[in-house]
Amino acid sequence: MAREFFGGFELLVLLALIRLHDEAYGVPISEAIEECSGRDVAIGSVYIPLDRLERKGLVSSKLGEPTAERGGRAKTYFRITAKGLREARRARRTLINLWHGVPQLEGGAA
Amino acid sequence: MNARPPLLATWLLTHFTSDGRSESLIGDLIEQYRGGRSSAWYWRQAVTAIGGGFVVQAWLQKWLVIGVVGLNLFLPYAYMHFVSHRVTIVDRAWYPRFINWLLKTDLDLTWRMTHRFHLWALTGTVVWCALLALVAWALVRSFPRHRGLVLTVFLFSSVGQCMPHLRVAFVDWVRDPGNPIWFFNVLCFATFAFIATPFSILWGGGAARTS
Repeated sequence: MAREFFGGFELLVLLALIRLHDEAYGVPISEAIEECSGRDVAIGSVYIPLDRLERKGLVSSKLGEPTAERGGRAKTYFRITAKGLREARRARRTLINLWHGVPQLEGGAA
Repeated sequence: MNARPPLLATWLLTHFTSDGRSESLIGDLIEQYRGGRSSAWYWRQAVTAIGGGFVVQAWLQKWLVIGVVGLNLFLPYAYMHFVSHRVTIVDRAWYPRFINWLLKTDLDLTWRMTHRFHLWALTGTVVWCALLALVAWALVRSFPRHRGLVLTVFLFSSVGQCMPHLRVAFVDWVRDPGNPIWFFNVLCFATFAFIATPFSILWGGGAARTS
């Protein structure tokens, strides 16, 4: 089967959930992306790529216990799978290879 | 600490976001809301989740969207061919009696008002709404993972189909603004389009979730 490339936001979500380990659910994932990108991220918008990543087998999900502070709703925790980790490494290699030798992107100022 | 998040926004999220993630998403929003976020923030998140989710799901499930719209366009024909003659039988059983009773009571104003509220269409409206609820129920049962998508598409295409009636009422108003009949037409059709139709579809869809 042909490998698929990550979409930009998909990759951000995947990296955020790798950083969060076992605490990756909607709120901290969106906060982690906000923190790193400096942009507002709607919580609902992270579930769309998470669904897509799960369908591709790159992420697995597990339902937590419902809690009163969440109005009796459970958290859905996400974890990266072995396949997801492999694909993330591959994406990193691809990006680094593309990054090298592009003079416009060297240095700090845009 | 904010105790209760905006009810309508939560209700919309429950009914118009797809698959099993909606509960977790609502939980996330409630957690943030109780942590000090404002109602405006909650509403913005809800609208983004519903709108964004709908666009993505509609794109992924193009054929399902086309199928639901097609089914919606076919429904009036199915109603006319298979149901309407039975509706007429029920209508004949109660409507003339009711009108006779009203005339006998000699309540002139009541009679005139009642006549303008299109009561003759009541049986058909009730049966049509029941049909919408039944189809919404069947759609949600058939596509539980795309519940929000099928309900949204079915609801908007159904409301869209009511628009020509409202246009007729508007044309009546343009032709003769002094005649109050246009107002009753708008009231009846607007009630049908914006209350009875959405309520039937949401009720049918909600019943499918709980059954």
